[in-house]
Amino acid sequence: MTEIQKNNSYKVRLFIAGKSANSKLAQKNLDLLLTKISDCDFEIEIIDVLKDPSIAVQEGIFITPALQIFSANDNSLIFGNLKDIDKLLNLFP
Amino acid sequence: MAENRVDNCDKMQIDKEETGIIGLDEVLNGGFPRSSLTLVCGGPGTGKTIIGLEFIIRGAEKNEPGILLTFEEREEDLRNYACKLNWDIEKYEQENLVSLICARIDPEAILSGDFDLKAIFAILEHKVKSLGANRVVIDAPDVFLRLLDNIARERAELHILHDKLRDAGLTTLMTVKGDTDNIFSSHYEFLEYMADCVIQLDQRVYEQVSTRRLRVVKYRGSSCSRNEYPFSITDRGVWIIPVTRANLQHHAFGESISTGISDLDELLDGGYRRNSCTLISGSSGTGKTTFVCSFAVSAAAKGEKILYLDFEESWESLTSCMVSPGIDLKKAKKTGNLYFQSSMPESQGIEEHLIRAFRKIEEFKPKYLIVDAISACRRMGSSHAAFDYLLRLINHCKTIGITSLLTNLTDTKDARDEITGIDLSSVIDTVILLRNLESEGRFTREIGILKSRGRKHSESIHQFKITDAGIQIIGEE
Repeated sequence: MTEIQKNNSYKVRLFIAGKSANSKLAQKNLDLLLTKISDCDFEIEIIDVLKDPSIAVQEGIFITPALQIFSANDNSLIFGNLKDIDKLLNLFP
Repeated sequence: MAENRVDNCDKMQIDKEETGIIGLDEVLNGGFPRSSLTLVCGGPGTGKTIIGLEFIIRGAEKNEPGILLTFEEREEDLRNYACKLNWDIEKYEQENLVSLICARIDPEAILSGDFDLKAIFAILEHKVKSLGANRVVIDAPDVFLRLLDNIARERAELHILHDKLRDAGLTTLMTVKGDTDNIFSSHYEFLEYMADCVIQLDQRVYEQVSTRRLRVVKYRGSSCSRNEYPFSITDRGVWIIPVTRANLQHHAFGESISTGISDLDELLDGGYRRNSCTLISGSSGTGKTTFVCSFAVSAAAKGEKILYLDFEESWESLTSCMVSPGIDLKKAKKTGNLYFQSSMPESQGIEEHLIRAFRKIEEFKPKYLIVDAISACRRMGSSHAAFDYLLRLINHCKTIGITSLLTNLTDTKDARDEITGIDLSSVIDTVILLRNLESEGRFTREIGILKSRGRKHSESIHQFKITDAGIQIIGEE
């Protein structure tokens, strides 16, 4: 897999639930995903819904892990532990 | 009411939370099991969500905070339902008494790998704490659980949810699709074991009339009424009128009340008895309506309120017919003591007819009820529907101390057959028979008292006339 060259800036927000297995996997997979994308600025926010569910309520996040990707053109929402890294790379055109 | 429930072989009652839904607490012998799970099962459109929403609203009215979590309904739809039912959700939200959580999953979302439902539980817990809620409704959790696509995990998540709700001491209502037979033979059968109370709703069409029905399938640790109860959704919410009460609470007969016809008072040993039910039966043109109108006018003049339910005539037609025997209904109406309500029997189902009558009784607080004529009630659907309607209406009258007067149009020569025919004889205390006999080229009107409970009454057949000053009884045959 070659690295994707892009010049863009994204905000990503990962909702997790404490230290559950899926929460840990999601964080690991997100790190891996982001290392595969270069020349992009990322603003990363991790929210633990067990500590503060208010943003989850506001954003309609009812299952975890959940990843929100905000860019200038588009917003995406992904549920799950983000195991399909290759598929998710397509979200960063 | 409270003492009476105890009589109901129900000494070991578990702790219950009143639902506040009209009639449901009576069916459940007090309410939902407190700090426990109640399931409401039913097909689409049977009223599950409305029952859930009403449970929350009735709680809020008593300053008991509640949360409705739905996985299916859209928030604006829920708000529309509430608005139609005159429930001010926004006000209760501001007062922190109600919280709606609409947890529909964004269909645009991408799925990538395994996930869990911890977020929704965290949100629910957070809301429960911040409101101090003690009522929770979980609407259509199956929609959400199905996302897991794994039966073992669906169960595990439901168990986690159930434990959390129980540990928090919440009285919970969960709605589930389908009827209990299907649900409990499917992979949700464990729900039945988790729930202490299971209610089944359905909607059926019988004789072209669609009726919603409710049945309590199980109630652990409590007695309840096991019958099927029709119910209706009115602009006041769910309305259930139990058909048969566990214990009869009829008022005892009171004093005699003049029938408005002095001769008839004599035959009846004083008149109609207070809290009793009298049936005036006869074929067409025998004067049934004239008898009840004589009574209505006399009672109204004494300042007592009468509710007149007419299934045959309009007010205009009735008042003009009563001019000839000198009965001034218009004057009676002007006193404010006579309320006339006419409707076509086929215009509504029996629940709607009953609720309309019950509501008027509640508002107007009459001492007397006239139903003219019960035979027309068959057109509400069937003889059974008519029986159901009348039995519940008369039972209600007897329970709250309303004296009722019914007319019945018979087609056979022997009116006695018709009385047993409609099968109401157990609630009817007095039966007056009217007939027209043809002899020597003219008709003779006759009246007889077939029965009068707890009273001496004339056993003879008497002749009577309808004069321009009302009814006059001439003498024995």
